[in-house]
Amino acid sequence: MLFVEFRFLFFFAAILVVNWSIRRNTPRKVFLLISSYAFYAGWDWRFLGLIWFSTIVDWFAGAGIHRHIGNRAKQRAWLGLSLAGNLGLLGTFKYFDFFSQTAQEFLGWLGVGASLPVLNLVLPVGISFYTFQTLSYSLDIYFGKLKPARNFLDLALFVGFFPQLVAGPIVLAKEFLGQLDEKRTRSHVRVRWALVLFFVGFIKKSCLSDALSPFIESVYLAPDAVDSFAAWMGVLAFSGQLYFDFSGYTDMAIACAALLGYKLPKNFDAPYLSLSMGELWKRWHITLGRWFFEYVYVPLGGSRRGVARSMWNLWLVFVLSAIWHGAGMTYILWGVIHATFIVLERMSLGSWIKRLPALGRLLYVHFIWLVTLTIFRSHSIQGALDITKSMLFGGPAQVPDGVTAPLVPSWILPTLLGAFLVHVVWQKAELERRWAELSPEAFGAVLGVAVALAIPWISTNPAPYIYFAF
Amino acid sequence: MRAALGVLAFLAAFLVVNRMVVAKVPMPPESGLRTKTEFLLDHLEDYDAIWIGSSATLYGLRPKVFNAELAKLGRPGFRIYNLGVGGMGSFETVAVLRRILAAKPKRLAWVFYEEPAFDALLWYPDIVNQRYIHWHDMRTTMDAIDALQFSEKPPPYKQEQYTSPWWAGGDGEWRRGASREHLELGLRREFGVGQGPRIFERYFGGPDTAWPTPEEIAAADGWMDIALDPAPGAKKAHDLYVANPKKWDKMVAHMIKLEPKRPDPGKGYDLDSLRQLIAEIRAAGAEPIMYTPQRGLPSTMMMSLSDRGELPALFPFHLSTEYPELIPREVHYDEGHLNSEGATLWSERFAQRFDQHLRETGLPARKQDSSAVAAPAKKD
Repeated sequence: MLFVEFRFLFFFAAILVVNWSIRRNTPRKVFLLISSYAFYAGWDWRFLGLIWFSTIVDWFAGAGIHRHIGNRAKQRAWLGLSLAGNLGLLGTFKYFDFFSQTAQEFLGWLGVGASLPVLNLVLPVGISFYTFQTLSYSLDIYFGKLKPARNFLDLALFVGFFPQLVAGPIVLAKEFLGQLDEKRTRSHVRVRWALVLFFVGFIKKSCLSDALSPFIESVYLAPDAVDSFAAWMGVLAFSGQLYFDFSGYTDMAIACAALLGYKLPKNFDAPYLSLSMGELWKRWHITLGRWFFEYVYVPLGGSRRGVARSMWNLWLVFVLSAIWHGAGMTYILWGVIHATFIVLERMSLGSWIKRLPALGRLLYVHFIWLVTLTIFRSHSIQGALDITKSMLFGGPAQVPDGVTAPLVPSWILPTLLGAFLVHVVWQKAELERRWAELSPEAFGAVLGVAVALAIPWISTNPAPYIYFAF
Repeated sequence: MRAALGVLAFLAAFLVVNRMVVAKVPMPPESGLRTKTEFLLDHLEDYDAIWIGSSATLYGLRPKVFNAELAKLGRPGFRIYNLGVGGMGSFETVAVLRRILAAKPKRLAWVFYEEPAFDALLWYPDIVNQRYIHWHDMRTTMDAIDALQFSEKPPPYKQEQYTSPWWAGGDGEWRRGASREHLELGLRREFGVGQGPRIFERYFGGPDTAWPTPEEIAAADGWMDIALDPAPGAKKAHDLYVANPKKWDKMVAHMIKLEPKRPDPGKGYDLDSLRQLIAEIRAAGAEPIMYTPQRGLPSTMMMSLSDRGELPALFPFHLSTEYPELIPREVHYDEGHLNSEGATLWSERFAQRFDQHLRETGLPARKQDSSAVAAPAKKD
């Protein structure tokens, strides 16, 4: 069930009504937990078992770590259980086949013929998100930043809370469990703000991301047939799609949670207005960056062990976060390039870039982002090279036989430019806040006009969220 | 109170703007639906009659041949337009015709209507296509839902789509699923869901390049030579037809065998929709005549309807006894369509049959001839 589907609107409306009509906190949490599992079962009920497994493992691991305060060895053992459980799930379902196939190719390259097993497992939706989220629970207890959840229900709801279950934001246990202690009250819900946020997220996903999808697919399915213009338009469109898709989901997740009385962390902060790659990554998928910072970068020593070690830690964190996105050489290469630029920005490149005017810095960021996105989006390294070649040096002189060169629809460029301008104005003028602060009548009228103008742009080809695949 | 006012303001603003947007939605260009319909609307007073139907009509009936044959038979000045569109199904045809009749054509005297079947099932697995959406105005949507009671069980691939834990069980299960499909399309049409790119392309996207172009339509009054159809499917169907010559002969033999059958229209045919269609055409000042093309199908229901007096007139070109010259494989391009020679032949026969009908009924061919109508000719 996607947030942009009509059936979700009915589902969520029913949840809202029932949630707020339940007076006591515990039954309300039970209801939300059952609803969350029903939401997830809409994709594949069989994978509910993985969520339960992850929750149970961390329930015991958290309790074990807390019980052995002062005994680091035993705490490590309990933390190991959590890490093995969650990363084991992730490794099996997401990375096993990739590493198996890569190892087989490598052995073949060495001249050693080997047939390694491949599991061909379906990737369970949201597994990268909820395993990281669950890990934050045991890790925070291990680092002494959190006490175990008061009861199993709270932990289960923290892991399974449906707005953020399948594509984040990656919520930390320490920022969510406290919200479950007391009954949420309607007076604290900023209804108009949440409605605006939900609407904006809906537009991003359904009207922009899904509309761009068929053109992008046509470009990346025929990388050796695209001319320079189509290649640039393709990656520009993908850049837009990626942002609209993921930030749209996040907006709707935050809005849904807010309407139920819960606060989820911000995940995007106008990343395309960043003036350096480092800044972009501080403003893009903020909760993933935060997770790696807290649970990988800092434990590795952060910046406390000298410049070289700090740079290595930084580089490693970015490569790991790229691998988090997917099992494939394209993701690894993409991560290595980004990590290298971020490290270089901390060195001489950073001071050189700072001397550029703001527009020049913006262009630098977008140039790196767009060129490397071809790697991120391509089905193979060769495909990425073909498109990058078309972007930088012109397209192929001749389209290969049997391949159709993708046509660039006339509305793509105006739509992307228009969306970027609206994005800038939206951020700078704080339109979200201003709209939510209008009188009820004016708010209703503006929302009515906006919805009527948005509906014709709802895509007839709804696609799953891109980040569901990660 | 203020919250209620906010909701009211939302609804009012939404409805006003939504209606304005929906009014700008163009017809879908697929298979020439837009260009052919809009051409007719722009030249409504140039024609005395239209053929409306599927690709059998589009490729099979040549207005200029028909007009010339009718002139040879002593009825000069008659002009007919071919409003056949590839893949145009029962209710889509009704919706397009309603659009034409709503423009109140003064000259239009005859509506030749291809085999009205009122099949309400949506056969494509993916129903969200512009053709389907476009004909689902509220009235036609309701008609289609109503007509589902006469539909036969859909094929397994559609039944699978209609399965739902919410309405499981009983024979009505697939009908509820099919009704939901119609309702979804009706809502998409009524609110203009997903029509933005089409509106944009229409007003800002440069010249309309939909096939056939207005020039091509004007040159042949709407008829298209199937051999020139750019769709890859058309050539493929032709190649298959040529490669399997015996298949057509088998189809014809089967058709001839079934021809005498007369199914009961009371079971499995939407008579209400038929009567309503006839009434609507007459209310617009035109006279309906139904016809069946020769495509290897027995069209027994049409014959039943004709026998029972439900049709004002039926020109049964599928009948092997009456029109054997339309059967040979050589005049066909593929299983469902005549080639250009076949189209010439059928158009001549159509004009002859129409002339016969006029002689039998004593009606004038054109409205402007009505003042000079001779006494009805004697029936044979």
